[in-house]
Amino acid sequence: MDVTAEVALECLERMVVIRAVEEGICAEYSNRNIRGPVHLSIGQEAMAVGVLNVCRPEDVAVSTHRDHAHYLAKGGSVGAMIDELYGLESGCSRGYGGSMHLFSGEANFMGASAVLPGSTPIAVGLGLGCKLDGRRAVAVGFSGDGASDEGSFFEALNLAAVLKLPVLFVCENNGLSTNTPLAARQAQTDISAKARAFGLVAANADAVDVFAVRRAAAEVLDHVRSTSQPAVLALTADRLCAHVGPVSTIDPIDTGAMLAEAANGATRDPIASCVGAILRDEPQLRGECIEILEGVPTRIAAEFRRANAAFEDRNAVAGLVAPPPPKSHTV
Amino acid sequence: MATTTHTDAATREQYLQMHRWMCMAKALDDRMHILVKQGRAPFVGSSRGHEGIQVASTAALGADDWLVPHYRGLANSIVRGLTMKEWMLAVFAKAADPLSAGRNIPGGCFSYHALKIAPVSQVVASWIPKASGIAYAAKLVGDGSVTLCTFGDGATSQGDFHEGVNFAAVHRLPVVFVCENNSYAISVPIRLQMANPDVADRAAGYGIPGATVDGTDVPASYAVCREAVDRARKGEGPTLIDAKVWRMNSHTSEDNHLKYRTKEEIADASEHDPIMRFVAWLVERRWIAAEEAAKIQDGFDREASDAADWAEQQPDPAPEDALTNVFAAGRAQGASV
Repeated sequence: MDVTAEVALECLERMVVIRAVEEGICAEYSNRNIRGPVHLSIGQEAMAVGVLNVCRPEDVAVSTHRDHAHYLAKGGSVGAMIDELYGLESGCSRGYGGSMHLFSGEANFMGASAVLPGSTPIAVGLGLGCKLDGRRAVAVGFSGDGASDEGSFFEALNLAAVLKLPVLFVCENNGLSTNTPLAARQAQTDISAKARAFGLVAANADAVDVFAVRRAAAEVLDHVRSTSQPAVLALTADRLCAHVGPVSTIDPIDTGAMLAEAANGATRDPIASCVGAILRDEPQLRGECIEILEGVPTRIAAEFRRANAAFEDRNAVAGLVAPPPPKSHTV
Repeated sequence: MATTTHTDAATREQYLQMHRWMCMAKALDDRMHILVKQGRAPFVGSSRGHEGIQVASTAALGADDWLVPHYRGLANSIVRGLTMKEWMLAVFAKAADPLSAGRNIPGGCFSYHALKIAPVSQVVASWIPKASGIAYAAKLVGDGSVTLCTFGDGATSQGDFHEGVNFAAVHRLPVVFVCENNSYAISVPIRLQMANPDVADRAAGYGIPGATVDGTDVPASYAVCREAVDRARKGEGPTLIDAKVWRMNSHTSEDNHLKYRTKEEIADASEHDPIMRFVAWLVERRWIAAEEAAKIQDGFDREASDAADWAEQQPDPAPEDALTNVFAAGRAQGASV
């Protein structure tokens, strides 16, 4: 680890918050109070956390359909996000957006576009705004590898390069566009090679290790901020869940199991990898790690209970929404 | 720039034929400018300055191959077999115009199925995915044909370019992409268009070979294109060629390049006339005498003038035929869809 104990625990906690919120969605979804498609980031938490941990509060970020991790890592309110999933007025998009359209003005999280790769041209516009304002802020545009099949992804790279805009394009390569592997879609599977052709600086990192992501992101961000030139950060990790829907292939966080997995050097779970790195370099932080692994999910579960109760109260009072069907009808 | 004038990928007779095609294109181009000034023709999109790469790339094709050109593709079309009279029928929008039956402007939108020239579009870059589609069909059918797709540097800023090239790359399609890079997207100079002006560098991002060539150097351009066509035919996939050329005229007759180019720059462009350069090369080899080359140009100039005068007298499309040529044969005319 090349970070302080404080930063290491901060990264761990933020990843556990993201995981716990998404596990909460998995647990609650079948009650049919949360509706609409959800795209989980489980397995990819280190991408959002590693990058946004080295961003400044004034930097702006924009995301995709898979936006939970980015919103939370940028500092979006957990309660307002969960309220949003329930369609409550108190939600971060006042209940109109849902899972794919999270937004937080206070956190400079400028929303998400579910139309691939909408986030990349939007990031160019945000970068232009940063440049015209004379702020030293950077625009961070997250997209998946599927976005790099699309023409407007390249239009965005080209325009950011020719206009010299402070944009960091983060390409989260989970190797699948829904369910089509990258190699079936592109002959050159290294996204950074595409960026270099436009004259952009590009870096790669394996996003199972949050600290490796953080290190690579710090380097390219420094370049973007000091030169006002765009860069691409190509990150690889496994999506440990289905493309869409509350379906995860791994078990909810269990402290004992997580500590055991943390000892596995070949783990593909970024949280286990992070715990493993902390315990290896700073074994005295074991207590803090356990406190995060146990405490965070408990707090998040309480948020879901609160939002669920508010949702049911609202429906009971307003009578606007039909009550959920009997459990036997769940899908 | 990977340019050599010492490569002999073609024979003397082939090179002399290329010279004649270039002279034909220039003759039509110059005549169209005169017709526009006389108020006889409505429009000209000039290919002056592009003839070298256009003739070289198209000459590398076989008769069963496909051409998917951009709207500046006059010399490409001549190599495919388009005659001066046919072109002038299109210029005057006559009923017998084989390019679009008088519906579209030449140097704008046209197609010629018998010569395997796919429909040209003015929507920049929109034909690049179509070229990949034609090549994909050729691969599926196994007919062994190669598709040549040409476009300008402006097209490379469009998403369609990337989607078309990426698709061809991943499926290893028999297609050759030629960027006729004249460093202007209408009036936008290349420095405002892309940070890296070498389009061929992008090939690395698609996992295909890229080549840069001086597009005014006919032997060098032919060698590069010939190799790319051979690769495509062998099933080794697409190539991206960046051919540097100098646009000698305004973007079209609707544009005045003096508004955004200096006189010095335009004078410099005229120094890069591919025909002058090619003639000098042929003369140096003693394959043609300078007087003979000038005579050939004069002959085509007269032929272009005669073709214009002839075409102007041909019948216009009949109003009652307005709805023909809209649907493929077999669909009843006027039938509701």
